[in-house]
Amino acid sequence: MANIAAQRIKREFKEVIKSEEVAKCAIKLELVNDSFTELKGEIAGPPDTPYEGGNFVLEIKVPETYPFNPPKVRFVTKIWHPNISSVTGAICLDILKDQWAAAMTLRTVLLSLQALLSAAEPDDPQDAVVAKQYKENLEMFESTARHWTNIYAGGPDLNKDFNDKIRKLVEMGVEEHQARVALSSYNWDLERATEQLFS
Amino acid sequence: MATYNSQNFDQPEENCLVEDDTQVPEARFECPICLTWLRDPVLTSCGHRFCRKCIYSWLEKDTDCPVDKTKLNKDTDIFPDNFTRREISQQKTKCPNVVRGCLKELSPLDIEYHLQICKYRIPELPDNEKLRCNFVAVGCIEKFENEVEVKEHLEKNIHNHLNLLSQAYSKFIIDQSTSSNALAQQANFWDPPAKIGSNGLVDEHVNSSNESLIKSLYEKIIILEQKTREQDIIIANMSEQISSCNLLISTVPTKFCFGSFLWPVADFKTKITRMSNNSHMMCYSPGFQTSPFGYKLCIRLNLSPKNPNYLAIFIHMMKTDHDNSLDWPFNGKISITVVHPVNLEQNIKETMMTRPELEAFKKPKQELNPRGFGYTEFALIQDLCSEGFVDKDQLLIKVHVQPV
Repeated sequence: MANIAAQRIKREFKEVIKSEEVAKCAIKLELVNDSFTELKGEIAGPPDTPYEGGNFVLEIKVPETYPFNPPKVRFVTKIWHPNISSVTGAICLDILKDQWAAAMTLRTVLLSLQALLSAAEPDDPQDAVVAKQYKENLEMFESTARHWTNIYAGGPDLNKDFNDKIRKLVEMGVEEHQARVALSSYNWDLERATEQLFS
Repeated sequence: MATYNSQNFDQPEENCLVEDDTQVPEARFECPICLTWLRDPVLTSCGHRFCRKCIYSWLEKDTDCPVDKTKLNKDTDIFPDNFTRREISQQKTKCPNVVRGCLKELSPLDIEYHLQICKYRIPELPDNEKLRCNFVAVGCIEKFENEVEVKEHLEKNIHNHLNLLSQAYSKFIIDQSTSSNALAQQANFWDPPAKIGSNGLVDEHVNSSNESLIKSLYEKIIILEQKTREQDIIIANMSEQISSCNLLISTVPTKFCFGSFLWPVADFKTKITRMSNNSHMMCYSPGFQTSPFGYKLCIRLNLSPKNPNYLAIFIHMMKTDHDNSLDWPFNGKISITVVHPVNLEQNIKETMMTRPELEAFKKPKQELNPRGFGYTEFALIQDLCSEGFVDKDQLLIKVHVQPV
């Protein structure tokens, strides 16, 4: 790894550790290896969003050309969000692509991601299914996102209705996550989800 | 310390002092790209400072200021910032090793280099590269930065180290005595091998190296024994195959003689004597076939019941597995020759045709058809002996059978 990248990550790491956001438990950063090429980030779901109360883990890979190129970031925790792939966790965020600037840091990236959770951009989607639901049925989107936060990120809101529907599909032999994806994609219409799963 | 301009005045002075071993610069002296002291600082038209190298590297792939995204032209929007360069060079800082006696005061850019050569520095060794006590093997876990500390530790801890040694020794003795039971030890050999890198004291190391040697030898012996056993089995199987092959081969001359069979009657005189003593005694030749899947016959010798001076030669049909594929009664020409070993003109040859009405040529119901066909008085035994037919106590009889 280029010296400047490792040196900068070292500096940034210290910066994040000391930051007030860490003190408030809003963001977290951990080293994965000694060479500062891979880190584990964590952001708290912002208040007044369906993600409130959840903790979202991020995989951060630092390229050798950092900070001249952005770090590669994806969600490890499964999340229901128009700009984040519900399958791979890939993130559609301009500053992680062409809008990256060398003066940005891991701290600003984590804060930007947190902001993205508060303000989705359905017109520039990463997950088309989620984005469609967001635009057509915001209420349904929010309860689905809340349910995913509950299941995968430790969020507080338990949705009994959704869980019952998933259990029905699981009893039919469908894998649980697969059942959740199908139901989420079809606005929790059990019949249509079943049809899609068994077609 | 240095003068502050207004924007940084609210920052406490400690901010520019080191916390760890690296110096963290004030924000106005820090490059936003490499996050270290500005080297060869430049100022952009939008009012941001960078290291020259950093901003030019950035502008190779981008056109905006990394801080505020203002469009920047690398030929017209970037100026050397000699004011800041001078400010930084005047930021004399004391060497962090001042507590150990270094009195150097240097600019932040120079201090980085100085830290590497400062003779008061603490060598920053990772845990695994630190010096260990010589007695680490018996349980002394101290770690040191340099040889001097090691020496000091060794001098101060003689008593301690002796204690550790004696403990390790007694444990070694106990281990040895408990492992004297050979059978138990042998059973131990089949335990899975110990994990490499598991912590162990010296005695365990010694023990385990001996044990592993014996263990590997023992395993080798077992493997060799097993191999021997396998080889024995292979050999047994092979010899079985060979004997069955031999059996097969031995039938070849009789099966593939195509009806022309030569029978050397060995021990002729003994046979005659025995037959004259017992009138029911008869000699049979091995069976031979007219073709591989043809009729099977054999030759019978005995003394003529009417006149025991005469040798009788008969032919008998024999049973085979493929009799049902043949025509019965057997029909053909049979010639019998007593071969003279020297003079072929003296050969005694008789030829006869089968007679279908005879019982002898019907399909044999037993291994050998009890009825034969031939000559009760083929030749005088005395003549055979005197005329030289019996050579080395052996009479040669040839039978040629031609099915029709």
